[in-house]
Amino acid sequence: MVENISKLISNLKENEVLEEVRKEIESGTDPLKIVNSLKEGMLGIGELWKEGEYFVPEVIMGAEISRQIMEILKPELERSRTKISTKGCVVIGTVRGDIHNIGKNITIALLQAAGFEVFNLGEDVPSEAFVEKVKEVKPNIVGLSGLLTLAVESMKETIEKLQEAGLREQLKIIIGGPFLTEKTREYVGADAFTHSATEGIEKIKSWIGV
Amino acid sequence: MSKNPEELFKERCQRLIDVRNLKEPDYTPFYLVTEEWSVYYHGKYKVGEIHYDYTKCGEVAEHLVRTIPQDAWGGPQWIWPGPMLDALGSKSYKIPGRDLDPNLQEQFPQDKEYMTPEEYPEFIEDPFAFMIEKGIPRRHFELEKSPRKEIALAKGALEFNKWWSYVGSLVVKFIQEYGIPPIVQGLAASSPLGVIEDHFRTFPGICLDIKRRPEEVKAACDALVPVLVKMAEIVYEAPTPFPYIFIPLHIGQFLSPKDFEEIYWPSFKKLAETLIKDGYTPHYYAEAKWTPYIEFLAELPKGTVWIFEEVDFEKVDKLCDNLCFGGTLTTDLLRYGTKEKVISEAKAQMEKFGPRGGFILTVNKDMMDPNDGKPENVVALAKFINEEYRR
Repeated sequence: MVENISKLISNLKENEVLEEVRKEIESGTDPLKIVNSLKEGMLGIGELWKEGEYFVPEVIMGAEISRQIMEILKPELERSRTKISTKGCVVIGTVRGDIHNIGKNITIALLQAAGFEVFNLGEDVPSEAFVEKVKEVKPNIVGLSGLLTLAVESMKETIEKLQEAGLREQLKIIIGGPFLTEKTREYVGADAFTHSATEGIEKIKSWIGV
Repeated sequence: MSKNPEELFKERCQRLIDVRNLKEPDYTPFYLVTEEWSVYYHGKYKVGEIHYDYTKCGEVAEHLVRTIPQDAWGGPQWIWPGPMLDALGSKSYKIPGRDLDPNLQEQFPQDKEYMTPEEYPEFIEDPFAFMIEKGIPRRHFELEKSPRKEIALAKGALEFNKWWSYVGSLVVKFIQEYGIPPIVQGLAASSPLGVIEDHFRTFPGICLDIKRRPEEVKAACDALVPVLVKMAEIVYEAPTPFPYIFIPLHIGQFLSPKDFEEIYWPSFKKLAETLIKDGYTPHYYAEAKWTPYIEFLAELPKGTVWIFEEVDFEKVDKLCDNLCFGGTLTTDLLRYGTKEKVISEAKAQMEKFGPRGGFILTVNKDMMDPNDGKPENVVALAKFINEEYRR
């Protein structure tokens, strides 16, 4: 049953859920339905994390299960030319000088589960690349990630460059990293800061009104 | 009347010994571990230059201990010297000037797994052999094949010796001229799970292993304990007055309390107990949030030092009468606070936790970036402590 899938994902039953997905595809279930269950399952993981039931390894496991399911579904989705509708668009990257990606990648997995289209620019991303991508895909949100304090200056620079390019007004900008505080948020000129992917996503949802 | 270096050295050592032994010292010890921050503070060189020029590195370190007098020197600005990493062909460190902008800090991306999950049984069987025969060669492209391997090893050992004897000469100089004892002598260990994460499986990799093969992960941690003890003994064969072992922690605090207890903690505790019994002081840098794990720490024998990045200090004070802690000053305060605010908070913290004995006034992170503290704040704090508070 396709409904089972979300539950198996939330419970991190890797082998069972992959088997279930393959069975559903064989029996002709609409891949979009499976995608929806997948999202639901990932949202469940996000909830359990927020409640303190799950920790980072569980979320990483969830993201890994989700990756494997999407791999199975990819040819099906391409064949049926299904377009997945989105709630909003996020451009995200780890800022220049910082090469860490774990927090960012967890955030991306949960953003996708929450129905956002995400453009991941990777790590050590120069401010110019953010400006270019924002011009190209016109996102609602920009997410700037970093693990080390050195990211502060790059976050500031990126936001200044977006401002200079006249793009700042149309965007909400959130910065994510364990060292960030209200003081650093103010210093770099972002709209919000967060230490946690789930909290950050709540913020983003409240901005877009979904 | 100012004290001579010998007197200063003696009283500083006593202070550090006292707090480790949980005895109230004459004054709360104060020190900062300032890695690349000291390069920016010195202002003359790029970080990348320092990695390859030990004289410049020494100049930076001396500027720090001269202008910001502290009860201990936190060691040089990084762990491994650039020429050694180059000689071995290291794949795992990103060095400024070589792989990164020369004015940035060294980074350790963990972007590749150097052991497959299927190799756990082999690792558990003999972790030392696995490390030497597979782990290290895979992480260094010069060590993959003979005869390049033998040449690279000889070159690497030579570079390491050059570096290590230079650090040794700095230690002696700082003791003789400034009366400042070293606490971190350059080589870092980690928790057993941290070693597997850092050098073999990466952070996401170890997270998946914990979920998919918890028994093997636990067995691998247990098997590593004697190897890590042996390594500490080799590295710290002739401990200077401070046989501290610098242990950054960056995995346990991300686990659920259940996984922490079952997988992470048994080998962690065993390693701590053995190191203490052998006369060492584990000096932990507890990154990220630690409040959920405080109860575990209370089980450790006396003789560990904990610098926390983020924790409920009141709770640590209340529950852990077995350990010495620090980290109450934040980089945020040092960066965005005023001098007056920094001084008043530091004073309040020393008055609050000083009398408990096991307390060090220090900042909650290794200072690596200019944004980890405004120089004028740090200088003012050291001046206040040395010239006003201790008068």
